[in-house]
Amino acid sequence: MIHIEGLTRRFGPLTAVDSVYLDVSDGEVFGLLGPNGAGKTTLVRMLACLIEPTEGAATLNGMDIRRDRALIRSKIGYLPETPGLYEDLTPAQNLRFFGELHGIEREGLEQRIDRLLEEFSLSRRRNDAVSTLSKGMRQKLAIARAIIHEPSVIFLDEPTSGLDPEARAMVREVIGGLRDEGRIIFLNTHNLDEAEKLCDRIGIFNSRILAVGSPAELSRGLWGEKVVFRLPADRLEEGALEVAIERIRRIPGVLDAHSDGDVLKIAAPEPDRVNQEVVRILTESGIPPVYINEEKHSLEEVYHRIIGRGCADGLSV
Amino acid sequence: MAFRFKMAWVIAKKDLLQFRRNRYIIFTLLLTPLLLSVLMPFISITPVVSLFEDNGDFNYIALHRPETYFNLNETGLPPGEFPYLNRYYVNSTELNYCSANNSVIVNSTVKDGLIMGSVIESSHLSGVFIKDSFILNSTVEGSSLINCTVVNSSLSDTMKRDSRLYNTTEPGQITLTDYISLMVDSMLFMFILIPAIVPTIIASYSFIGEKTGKTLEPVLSTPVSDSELFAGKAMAIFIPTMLATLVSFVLFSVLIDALTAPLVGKILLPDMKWMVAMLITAPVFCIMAIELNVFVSAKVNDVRAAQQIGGSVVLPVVVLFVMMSMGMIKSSVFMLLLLSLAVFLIDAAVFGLAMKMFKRERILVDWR
Repeated sequence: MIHIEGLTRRFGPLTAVDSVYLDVSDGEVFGLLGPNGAGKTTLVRMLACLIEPTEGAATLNGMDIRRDRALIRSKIGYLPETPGLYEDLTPAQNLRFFGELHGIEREGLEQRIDRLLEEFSLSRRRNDAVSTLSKGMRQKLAIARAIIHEPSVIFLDEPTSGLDPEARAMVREVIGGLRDEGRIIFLNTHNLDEAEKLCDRIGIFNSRILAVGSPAELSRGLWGEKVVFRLPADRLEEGALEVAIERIRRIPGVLDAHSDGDVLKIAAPEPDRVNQEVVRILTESGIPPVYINEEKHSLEEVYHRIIGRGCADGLSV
Repeated sequence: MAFRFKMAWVIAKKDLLQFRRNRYIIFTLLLTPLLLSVLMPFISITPVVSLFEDNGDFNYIALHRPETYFNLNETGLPPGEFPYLNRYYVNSTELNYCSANNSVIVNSTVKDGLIMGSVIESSHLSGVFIKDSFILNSTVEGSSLINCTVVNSSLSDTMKRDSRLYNTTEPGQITLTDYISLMVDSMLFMFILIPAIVPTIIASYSFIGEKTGKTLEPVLSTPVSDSELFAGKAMAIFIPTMLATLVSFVLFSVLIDALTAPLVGKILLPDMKWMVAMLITAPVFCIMAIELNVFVSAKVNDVRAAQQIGGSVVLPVVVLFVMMSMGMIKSSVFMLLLLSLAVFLIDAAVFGLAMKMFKRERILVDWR
């Protein structure tokens, strides 16, 4: 697992990463979501032991990022924002170079290269120069390069940025495959859709972690658990609804209830305990609900709300 | 962490593989030896050689056939106050006050005489009037030469008219051997220039290429240490550069020897001075060029700019080259060793600074 405690990095007067506390458990896909220039890359570079933190500490599977730098680098896979492949070399040569840097023995390495190229559907292009590959293929190759030594933790910095939808789908599929193999995947992204689709948990980040949780948890944290009752519009009578809402508000566990046209919204942290009562009251009032739904907020709404609030609170330093 | 040569070699191998696919680097590495080792000897030595060479005059040697001559030992000196030798073969004899025509005089001493249309070899002549003759490997003093060809000899206090001297010393004159040696030596610094220039071209691709392609970051995320990475990249430049230099030197030596050996009668290269220059001076200059190019590459983003700035490394070498060709310094083994030591000390000092520059963190954060 990854354990981060007060990690901070300053560049002169600028604080790129400000006192980050975070735990990521094994087999989890964690997404760090934040605007460009938020310090996501700096945080990941510190965790990958590329740059040193100014303050704070972090461990990866028990290895300390200040003490065990070379050891950590041998156990992690890292895909930087720009894939940084050697364009004049072939996919196989690129993979071989990194395999050798990780000290993989020759025979095992060749097998592993063959397998990765096969898995990522690059076998047919194994002896072409990387410069002739499509962007999506390059990104897949870069991911293959990051996992050539079977790392237990993989850092992916903006893995799909700049890719067309087809290539993006290709890369997502690969990342999904890695998750299924049970590794920790730490993903930096500013793509909300990607974070929602790929990540178990998301950290909304702008120099510091502003909120952490699954997309649903984040939404609930902001707006509370809300249940939406769609009422029959033709049976709505002004007075009856008012009375019903008053009765509903008195149910223990209901924080708020209000109507908007034919929609009744109820805020309740434990909806399973109050829903039945609400339905009963509505039915008694002659306006039985047509549908009952959980109120959903898109990650985009969550993100904008949190980032906006973070900035308003002066959190971005 | 201990330095692992294997890791450095992995880096070097990758760079060498990339160089093989880069036609600019291949072009540079092939052109350098071609230019320096093949063209230079022809440009500088051939004119000198042809100046001294005139095969027509050497036809005198055809006269050198003992069986067509009277052998002086058998016939004895002809009678008379001023004995007149015609078609005589004179070997290991002392001739005083006589005249020789159409004869061959070998290993002899001739004093106060008159020699015409003869071949004189390995002899000592003094106070002799010599006309239409060929003189080889001899010493001539206080004499007069008219229409003679003199090869490999030394003349002193001697009057010459219509005569040709090859590799022959006169007071205040240098021999062909000396002259050729000087020409060859003047090219020594050209050969130190190769290891100073070639790294500039390769290093700019090697470092700036990694920088602009952003290929260093993934490498830095592997267990390779900063010093292994630096050593690997330096090795990848050092090996082809020194290979090009040494191959050039071998070709150059073969060509120079082939061109000059028939004239000077000995093999000029390799000698001690050149060996020191190639095996000690050239490598230390090569290392200096690599180190300085790391600095330049850290600051510059453009291969051309890096090459231009990096090219300034050669300036000190050019200064030396000019000073040498103007006779201000004479290249000697001692001078080369001294120079190598000085450059080595600079290398060591710059190495510390280059390693500071070549830290993961600085490469990622400061190299722009």
